Amino acid sequence: MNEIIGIIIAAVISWLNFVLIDTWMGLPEAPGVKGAEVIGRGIQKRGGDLAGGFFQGNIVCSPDASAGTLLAAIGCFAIGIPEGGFVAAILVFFGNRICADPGYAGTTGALTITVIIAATSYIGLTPEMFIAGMMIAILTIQGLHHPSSSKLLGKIAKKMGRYTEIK
Amino acid sequence: MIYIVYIIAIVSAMVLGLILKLPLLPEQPIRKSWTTSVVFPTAVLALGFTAMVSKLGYLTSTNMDYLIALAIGVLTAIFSKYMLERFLPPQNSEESSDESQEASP
Amino acid sequence: MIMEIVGIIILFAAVRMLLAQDRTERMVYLNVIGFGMSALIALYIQTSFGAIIAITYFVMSTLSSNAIAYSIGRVKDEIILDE
Repeated sequence: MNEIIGIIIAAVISWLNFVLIDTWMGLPEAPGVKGAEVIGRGIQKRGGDLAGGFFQGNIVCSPDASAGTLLAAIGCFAIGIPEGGFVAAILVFFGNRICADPGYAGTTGALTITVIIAATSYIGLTPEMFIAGMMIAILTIQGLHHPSSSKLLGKIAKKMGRYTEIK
Repeated sequence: MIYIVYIIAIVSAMVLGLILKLPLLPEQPIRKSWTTSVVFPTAVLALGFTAMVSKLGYLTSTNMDYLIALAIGVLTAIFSKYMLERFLPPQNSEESSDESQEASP
Repeated sequence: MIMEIVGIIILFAAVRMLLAQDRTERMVYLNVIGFGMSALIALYIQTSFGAIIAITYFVMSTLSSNAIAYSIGRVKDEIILDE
């Protein structure tokens, strides 16, 4: 498997994994902590979508599925498949509880990406490619243009029935 | 199925969790509830602890493996029933509304 | 090659963070940098303990960002008295 193609495929898979699981777990619905509300309102003021803003704020303020995906990929790379993913899931769970979050998004993201990494290892994708892929995915959501990516996240939230009620 | 060790650990954690009267699933909607249940977090903790013990080198391929996995599952269920609430108290999303009204003299 | 890709992403996010005006916008770029540093730690120290260090660093950086974002919100609410 050519490395560049592998990184691109891993980026797409990680993006889908973390966005879909986070949206399903209700991240765009409400800010989990007050810091997330601040960031969400800031993005709204700069022309973005409020639900997408709450999503971005929740990513910053608590380990969610994006953190779970990256840490499970790191675990699988350095500790081994699948033990690394399970260790990452348990540490993400403790991190979530310290941040006043029940912990469903992070552990679910970590466990699903561990299964995916184990499955795609048979077609040649290594955990390293998933680390780079997840970095590219988080760059597209949080590193390019926050209002546009928040509008995209808001559209996905509306489609999955998780749009926010807060004005 | 190569990873029988994990299945044994999860199953023993779940069985002991049900015996200790942990609920099977958290209350609906699942994503907002803080209750410790059998599926979450007991099963996840059992997987994690088994993975840690396996990578520390204690699970070599002998018959003791299954007993160790059983013991890990039992200890995980006991931990999540009695000690999880004390280490990580459930905070219901930070009461931020009552501390934003401080009067400025 | 993976380390170079992660390094370029971190540099890009750092430059955008320096050029940003809004404090809340800077927090979001800081989060990208936190992801990147955690990945670099694990990619450089390629052992199991390196992964534990990377995961612990990441959780601690998220806790700090949580506290900073909360404080930014509180600072915006306060009224400043001119002496």
